Amino acid sequence: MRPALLLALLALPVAGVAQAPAASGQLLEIDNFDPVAMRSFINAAQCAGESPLRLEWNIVSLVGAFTGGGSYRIYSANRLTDDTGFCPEEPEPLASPEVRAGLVDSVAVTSAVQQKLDGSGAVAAQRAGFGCEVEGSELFLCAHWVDANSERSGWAQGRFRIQVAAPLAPTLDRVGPGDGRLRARWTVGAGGTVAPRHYVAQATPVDEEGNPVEGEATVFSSRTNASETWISGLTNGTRYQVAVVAFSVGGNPSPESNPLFETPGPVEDFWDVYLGAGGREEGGCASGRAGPLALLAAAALLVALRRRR
Amino acid sequence: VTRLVLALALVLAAAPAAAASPRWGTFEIGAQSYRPDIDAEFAASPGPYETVFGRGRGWMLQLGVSRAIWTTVGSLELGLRTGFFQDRGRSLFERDGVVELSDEDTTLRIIPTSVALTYRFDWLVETHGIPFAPYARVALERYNWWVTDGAGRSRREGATNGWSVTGGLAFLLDFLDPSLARELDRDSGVNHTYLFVELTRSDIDDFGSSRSWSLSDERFSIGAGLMFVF
Repeated sequence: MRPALLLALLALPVAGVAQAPAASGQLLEIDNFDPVAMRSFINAAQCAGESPLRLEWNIVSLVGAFTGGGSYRIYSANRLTDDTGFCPEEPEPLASPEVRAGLVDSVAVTSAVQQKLDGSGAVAAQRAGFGCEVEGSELFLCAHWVDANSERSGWAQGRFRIQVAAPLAPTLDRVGPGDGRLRARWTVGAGGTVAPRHYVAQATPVDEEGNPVEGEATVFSSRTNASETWISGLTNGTRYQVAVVAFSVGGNPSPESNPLFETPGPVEDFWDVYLGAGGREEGGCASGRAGPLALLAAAALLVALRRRR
Repeated sequence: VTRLVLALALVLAAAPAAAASPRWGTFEIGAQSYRPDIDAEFAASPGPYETVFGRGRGWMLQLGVSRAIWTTVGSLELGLRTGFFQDRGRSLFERDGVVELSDEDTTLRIIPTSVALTYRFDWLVETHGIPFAPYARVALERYNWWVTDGAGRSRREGATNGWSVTGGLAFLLDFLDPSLARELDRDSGVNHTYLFVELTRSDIDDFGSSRSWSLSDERFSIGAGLMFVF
């Protein structure tokens, strides 16, 4: 898959995957945070430096109220410093040979809750002593607030896992037409080492031979955890090649599914079909003359019963 | 359903008339089979309803509350009823001149409302402990309906009026466990609990208006449910 396409997929809004802001003392990857396991992921593209880490942190101040100023330094490490929320900092002497840590990045302070969108996953992994080929390696990323007096005055930290494996490609079973949209249904690829977390379907305009139409953009669905979705915003009468991609919890895309072709077009709902068949109903209220008479009779009955009581 | 009925039968039990709390009326909850006879106005078959929704019958859920207005011999009650019905089908799509089903849903939804007069012959229940009470009901109906497209938007809505007649038989569940029924009456004021089955004939076409479709059932509706006398 081309990097541009991958980036487009990763930038899609999330549907069904919870995205919470960083809590106090927390640092997370915005797109690849698992709120259940309280863990972020560094995926294959991020680890290879092809896609940015999108970090967000929320600093715990150790000096009373957060005052700003100074800088944030982003460290990665294979463990936290004992009894603190800090990562070990190089070039300080390390407590033991088992500790691997290093500075990843730094950024000027603007807020206690802050984002940085271009941190390198590759650097983070290397500083923590891992390579991207080590699936499942755990590391920590920490934001250290170094205030204007160069004092280390606050921290936020998060647990990360390197995930470079991708789910198997799903099988696209059916694509059905709608009005300006197509519905794709698929089944999960059997086996594989990584389970799919969500899916994105895509529709590419093609000509009669199935070749992409130059200048026409591929349209993506929103992310879904289900096994079907609509791809909306399509042009009626245009033929599309549809495929679906599965993503791991870390955001690694599977290969594309098998393609299927379909053409959206106008549809007739039940009301259209009824009118088209010559139906006489017009909607609204259209009682015949007997209707009001019956209602009057009911009212009279009610009054009569009331008087009898 | 059988388990539910048996469970309710164990919980909701009989209370002899002499020990029962004062009666106000009844509350009912139930369901009846239903299929609107919309295709009746078309000579061609299949009509639009069958084309979109198929041939199956659906279920209309029903709730009702009635006030007892005469209880000398049996019970005459005046009440209000409502419910919900929905049929879901697929919109049609034309491909190369051939009409086929699309992936877009379309629904017909109905909320029936009615004013009903019910006579229940429960004199044998109250005086001789025979646990069966036949009943009859006439009702003025107003079916509030709307059709939705694949996006769930309302395409057209309206209301169709009519009438219905119902005949049914209610079985006194209290008969199965009188002591529990007395306890329920003491705790909640429910005098009796009935299981009922009924047949309904409806005529919902705006009393023959030439501008209305028929939401009458294609044939008799079979219904069942629970009725609480309180």
